[in-house]
Amino acid sequence: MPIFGDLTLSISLGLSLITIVLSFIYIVTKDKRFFFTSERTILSVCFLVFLSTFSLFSSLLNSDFNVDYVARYSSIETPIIYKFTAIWAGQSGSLLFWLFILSGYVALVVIQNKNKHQKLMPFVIITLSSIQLFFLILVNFVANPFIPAEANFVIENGLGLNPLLQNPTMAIHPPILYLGYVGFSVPFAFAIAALCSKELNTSWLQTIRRWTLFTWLALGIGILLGGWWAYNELGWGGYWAWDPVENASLMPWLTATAFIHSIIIQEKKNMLKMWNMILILITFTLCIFGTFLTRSGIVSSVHSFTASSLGPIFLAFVFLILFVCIYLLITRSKYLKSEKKLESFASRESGFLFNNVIFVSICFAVFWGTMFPVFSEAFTGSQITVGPPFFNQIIIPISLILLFLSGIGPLLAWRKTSKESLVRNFSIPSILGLVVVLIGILMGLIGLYPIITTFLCAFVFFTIVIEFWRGIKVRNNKYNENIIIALLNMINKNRSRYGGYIVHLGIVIMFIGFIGKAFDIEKESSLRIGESISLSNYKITLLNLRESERPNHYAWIADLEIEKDGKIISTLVPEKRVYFHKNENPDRRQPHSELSIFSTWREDIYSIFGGIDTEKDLLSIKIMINRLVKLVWLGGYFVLFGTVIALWPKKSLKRI
Amino acid sequence: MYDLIQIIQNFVPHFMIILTFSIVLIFSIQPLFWNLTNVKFNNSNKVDSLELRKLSIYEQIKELELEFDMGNISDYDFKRNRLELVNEVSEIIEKIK
Repeated sequence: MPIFGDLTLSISLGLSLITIVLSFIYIVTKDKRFFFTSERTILSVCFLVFLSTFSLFSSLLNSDFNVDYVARYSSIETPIIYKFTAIWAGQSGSLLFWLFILSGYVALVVIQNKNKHQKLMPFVIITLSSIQLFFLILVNFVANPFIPAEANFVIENGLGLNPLLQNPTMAIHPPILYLGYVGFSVPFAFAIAALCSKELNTSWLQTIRRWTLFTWLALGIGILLGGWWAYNELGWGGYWAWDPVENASLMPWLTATAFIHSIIIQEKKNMLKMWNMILILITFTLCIFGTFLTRSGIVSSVHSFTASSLGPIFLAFVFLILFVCIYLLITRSKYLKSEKKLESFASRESGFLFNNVIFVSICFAVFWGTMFPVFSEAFTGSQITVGPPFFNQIIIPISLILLFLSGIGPLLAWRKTSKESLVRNFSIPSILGLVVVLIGILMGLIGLYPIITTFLCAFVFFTIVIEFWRGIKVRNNKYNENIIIALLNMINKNRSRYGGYIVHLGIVIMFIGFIGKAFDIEKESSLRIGESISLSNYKITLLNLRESERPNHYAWIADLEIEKDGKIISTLVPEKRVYFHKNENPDRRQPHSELSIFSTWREDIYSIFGGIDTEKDLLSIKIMINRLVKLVWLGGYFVLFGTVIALWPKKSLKRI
Repeated sequence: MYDLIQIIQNFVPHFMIILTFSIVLIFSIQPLFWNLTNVKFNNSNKVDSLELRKLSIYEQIKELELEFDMGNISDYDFKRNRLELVNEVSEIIEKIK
């Protein structure tokens, strides 16, 4: 199987080159046979990449340790599900997996657009083939996952998968994140095609709108799952650390969010053509740049792969993309002029534009903070890293402006909003927002940012609720529908609008969750069996310390009883595990703390097994009380639900 | 007999590989030999683009009416915006004709 996988990759590389050549011949000669052949060859490349990926899966599942990758990232003890996920555990496997997802997208685009977009498709195929070619070069010549293991003896067992990756979230987080990262290749390809062919009307935008929304959702869910994994697995009690690799995934998400807002302006008003083009080109470039950050080792990160020769290659690819994009934008600038101008700052167009400026500003701040160590080293000779305080200081205030804009956007009319409309629409949510803040202060809400955030969350929440209520009332008066039917019909008839509102509601819920961070508390302690510690109004007692030997690790388990106001509410079982415990080399044994969390809507009791003194039977433990974390995940569900509504296909409107 | 089975068993994987790549090759180059006189593209030409714009404006008019019914925009804003959209769609319909 490895030979077959390797062979398919080599043939794919050749076919990919042929695809590009055939498409160019078609563009020059207009002989359709070349175009149809290029469609077939690109589909063949996709098929061969699928075969190659399945070959690696097969080698992993069969523990074929003759393959170096299999020997490095799996072992006989590795559970089957993690043998499957080992494909993205290492550099070369994850590159093949990237190529696999890209090929899935490419096949879908080619099949979906068969006999459509005669002018765009050859360029789309060239662009997608070029991206495929880049990754094929990498997996063929730089990081081949089928390289045989270098050993002059029979390898009986592999090294096994990193214990941090042996988590169910890690089985879905990387593929979803990749779906997002790689998915932006499609809108990027259509944008390049529109620029090359000068077909810059809104039809290319309509073709990619759903793609963009889907990939944006996948990237967003991928980021959230990453936060979930960090919170539940890494044991530092948080879900976002402004780590360079986390930031690398956030940057394209930010520009993509700006893009999905601003294409509404282009579709409705034929404005912001150049801006939209720049946004989507930057989004894809940032995806590749993020990959460069993850794989180059240029900035240190807990998530990144080790430094490798891939860094300069990715950087060269980023510069090549930038060069092509800038050249096309300059040469096509006259076709990208807006047909209309902004009439007033108090208009929905302006709201969208401000929102875009904020998203891009946040993206720039994240980029600056992430790359600061590199810039500082270049200019001063020493690497200075900026940590979470820098990001929090810059990004929290900007994000609050964004939150405010998401509230006022729906209250603004297109073109221009009259003063009386502004006063009428703003007054109720503002008053209700102030009432919520007052209640919050009476209940102990303190601090400038928590108070402002609470006001803005309440303001946006009531704006959305009022929007829904008014829409329901209209249907109720017009069609005599009851509340439920009116709500369902209203959403059904305006899916993108109300889906968008539900997404905004999700963001508001997340922000409420973020406020909770300001009120987190923690305590570290050493306990013997029967001893307790108190934190907030909880009493935590160590009931027992146990040991257990499992198939792929050895574990010490602490049984902790949680009491609140004299009543037992739960038991926590944090563990200290040692993976590869049977390995004769002690350096190969990997300790790992398995957390135990008791979660309520109000707070999480988060327990971390620090260590154990077996002679004194002394457990070292850290307990954290993290407020409102569940709301962050709940907000994610709302974002997912709202986006699915907005994505759902609708019947086209033929007449009014 | 045993040797023959062994040879066949060894050959099967190679045969499968050759077969796979042959199918891929035939699938790929087949269109080069097609007669394409009757093949048409559903091309996104200017008329299609205008049709899309027309539908987009229809949707905007519907949304504007909803906004007005909801009380989000004033009577003046509604009339002015609706008139502009109706004028624009009329121009597009003229162009399509």
